[in-house]
Amino acid sequence: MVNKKDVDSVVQRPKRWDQPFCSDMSADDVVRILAAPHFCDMTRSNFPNSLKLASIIRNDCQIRRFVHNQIIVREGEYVNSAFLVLSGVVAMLPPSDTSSESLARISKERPSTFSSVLQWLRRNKLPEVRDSVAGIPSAGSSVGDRLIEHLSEDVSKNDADTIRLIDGDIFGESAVLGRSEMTNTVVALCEVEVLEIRWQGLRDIRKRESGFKETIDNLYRERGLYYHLMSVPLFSNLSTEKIRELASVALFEVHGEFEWQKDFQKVSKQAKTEEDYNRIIESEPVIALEGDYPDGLLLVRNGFGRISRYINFGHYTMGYLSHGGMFGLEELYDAWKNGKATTLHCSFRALGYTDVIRIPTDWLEINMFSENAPETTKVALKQALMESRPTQLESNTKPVDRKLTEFLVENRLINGTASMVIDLERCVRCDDCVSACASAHDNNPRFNRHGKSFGRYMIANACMHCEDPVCMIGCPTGAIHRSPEGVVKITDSACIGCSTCANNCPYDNIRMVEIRDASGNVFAEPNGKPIIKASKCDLCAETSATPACERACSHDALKRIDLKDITNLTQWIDR
Amino acid sequence: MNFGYRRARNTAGVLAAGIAAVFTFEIIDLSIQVQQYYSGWFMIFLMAILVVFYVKKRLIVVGMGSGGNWAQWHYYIGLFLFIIYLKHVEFSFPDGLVESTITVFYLIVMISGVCGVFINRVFARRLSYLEEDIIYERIPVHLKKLRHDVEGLIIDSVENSGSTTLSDYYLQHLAGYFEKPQFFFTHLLGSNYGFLRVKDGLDRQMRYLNKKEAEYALNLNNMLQKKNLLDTHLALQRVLKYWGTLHFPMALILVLVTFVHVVLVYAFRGAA
Repeated sequence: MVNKKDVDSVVQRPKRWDQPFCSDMSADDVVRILAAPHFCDMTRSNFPNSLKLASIIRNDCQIRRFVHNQIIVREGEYVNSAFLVLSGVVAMLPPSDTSSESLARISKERPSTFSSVLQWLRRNKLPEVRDSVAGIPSAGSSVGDRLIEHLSEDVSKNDADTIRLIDGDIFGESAVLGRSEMTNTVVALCEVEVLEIRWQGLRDIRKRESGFKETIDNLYRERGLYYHLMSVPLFSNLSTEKIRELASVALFEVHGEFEWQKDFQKVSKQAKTEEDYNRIIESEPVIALEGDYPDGLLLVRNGFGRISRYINFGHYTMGYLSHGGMFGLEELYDAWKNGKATTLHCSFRALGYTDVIRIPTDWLEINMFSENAPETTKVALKQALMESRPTQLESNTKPVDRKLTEFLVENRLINGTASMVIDLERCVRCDDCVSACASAHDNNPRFNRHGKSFGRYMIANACMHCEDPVCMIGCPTGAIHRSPEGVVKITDSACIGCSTCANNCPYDNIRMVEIRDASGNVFAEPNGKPIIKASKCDLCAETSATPACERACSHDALKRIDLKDITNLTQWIDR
Repeated sequence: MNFGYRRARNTAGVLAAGIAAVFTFEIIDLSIQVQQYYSGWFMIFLMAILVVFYVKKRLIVVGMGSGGNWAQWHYYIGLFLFIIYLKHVEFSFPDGLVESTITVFYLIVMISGVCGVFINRVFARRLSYLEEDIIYERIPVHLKKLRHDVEGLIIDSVENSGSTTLSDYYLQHLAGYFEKPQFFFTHLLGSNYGFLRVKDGLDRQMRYLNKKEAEYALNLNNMLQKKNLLDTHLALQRVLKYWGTLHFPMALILVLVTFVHVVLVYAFRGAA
């Protein structure tokens, strides 16, 4: 509570929908959407007065128009919305079908050096200064924020694996529900109208409309399965027919909790002894258990899984798998080759939540292992076996790497794609990194040089820009969102200070800060409660250069590292 | 290529370049020219690069490359500059007032720089060996809390044990230890001698304590360890933070004095 005498700037606390997703949505547009496919089947009485369907459409949706060959969303980009085709035809291109040149992928332009210097010279002396509580509407990220380009080649002629979507069809659901990147590029084939529904609206509608939820969830499973299989290197040489055949026999499984962070926060605080950690591992949902006969090949589509082996009285973590990883291939192949059943060498457990695709053993034996399989398939299999052998993983890993793996998995740090790792043996505690961060953010440092340590390495409390950013799940306004490049950002003007993201972040990397005007007066409600906003690292996306913290370190002690793959970290350690 | 190899290679490279530069200036001397003009301006050029590192640190919003690379260049150019300097003064201590002043400032800057590298390498490593990492600015808060906790423990021991042996010992020998940071220089030298003496004193008291007091004494022992940790952090981090306060201002003064030196040299060049 702020002392009344310190508060001059009395304002109303910002609320959800103070800034709609699109200010151009008219009442006529809302009526039109209510009559559109899916929406016309919804029961309006399922929505409470405080959250009417019409309000959701007005505030969380926007109508976007595209012309022939214009890209709506790109493969590999992160989106925060699902899309409903209102009119026209769009093409969903198969993964990696189009070259990066023809996709016209252009990364967002950073501000010039001159404007960065100007911004730095004009920086405020006081912390967390804002012009106003709300500001210019720019909430969330929509396709409008992207650099929309045209395909350089005409995709309408390419019919082979392209899926055509017409009025009433939905796309983008896999990426937004799975908090993962787009697996396909979607292009307009003529003049097209698309309804963009941001995550917050989609979440609220799914919660109240079981029919809509079922449709979305089915699409998520079917398309996720098909397109994931196409992107797996092991199956890259298979024909479209074979992939379709495989998709029809493969199973899509979801393990663990979608909102896993709540349980994780609770148990990680309680865990003190090795026994506690063993109990935590045992409580993780088992996908495949060591000693059991393998029941098909497991492919990780989303989330993370722990590979562990039971030694004496404890579980020893050998590694982890994320998107694209596979489990059980070695055992399945050995069993087929030797003609006798082989049990699994390790267990595979879901860390948080994991989407898994299970490929039946008999299909693999006929189409992949058989002597009659094409030569290209045999080469792909050999390569996959080399990469996925758990026994090889064990023999290739140094003891320090094993402990490091255990530490990273234990603390779920494998989620970070840009974790701030500090080498404490080189860090001289000069705080140049903190000062640099403050310089790049209007005098407000966006991280704490403190955090969990493993030996001489510390993972500082800076946003890790997670592969699975659970902080975004509950945001009511879309203020916290992911840029197409994967940077988790907060749109300050859209943040209403509800603290949901800060509470959801399992790593305590989001801080709630009191904001003030240029004179230093804290903004506060009439009852004296200060207005707060979420604050975190944005990887210096608004400056002219790469993360300031990393550039500032004169001792080569700080690095932003993608911990999804432990080799990134071990390479830096061995530098 | 490991860390040690890279350092040895770079140092050898700098020494080779330095020797080459010395020979070059020697040749200039032999050609009946004053090599000091050339080596002097070359030194100013090198000094400018060294100063840009400081500017780069302040102007972080401009992407001028990694700080780590800049620091490496700073060290090696500093070393190279020293070789050029030795040739500039013809391997002798100058006798003029201005020249002597510059030399003193230069030596302060150079020696503080070399000491800084040593401090950075050694103290950072020693900090990483400590059981917990503590932020320097929070140490006073931790010290205050620890003092509060210790006082609470002593009051509890008197109330619950019915004896004042431990509290008397605390008031006579330990209150001062917890009052403020201790054994600054001992910690800098990497010794735990001061702390061990204090701890040993408490250990010797154990035989005079009753059972209840002994339990409190064990807790007090843990608090002594915590205090020692805070003192170690404070000593090492204080030096890490403030050694630069000698190096940077002296470097700026050196730049100014060098300017005066250049003006005087050109003003009186006819006299040479």
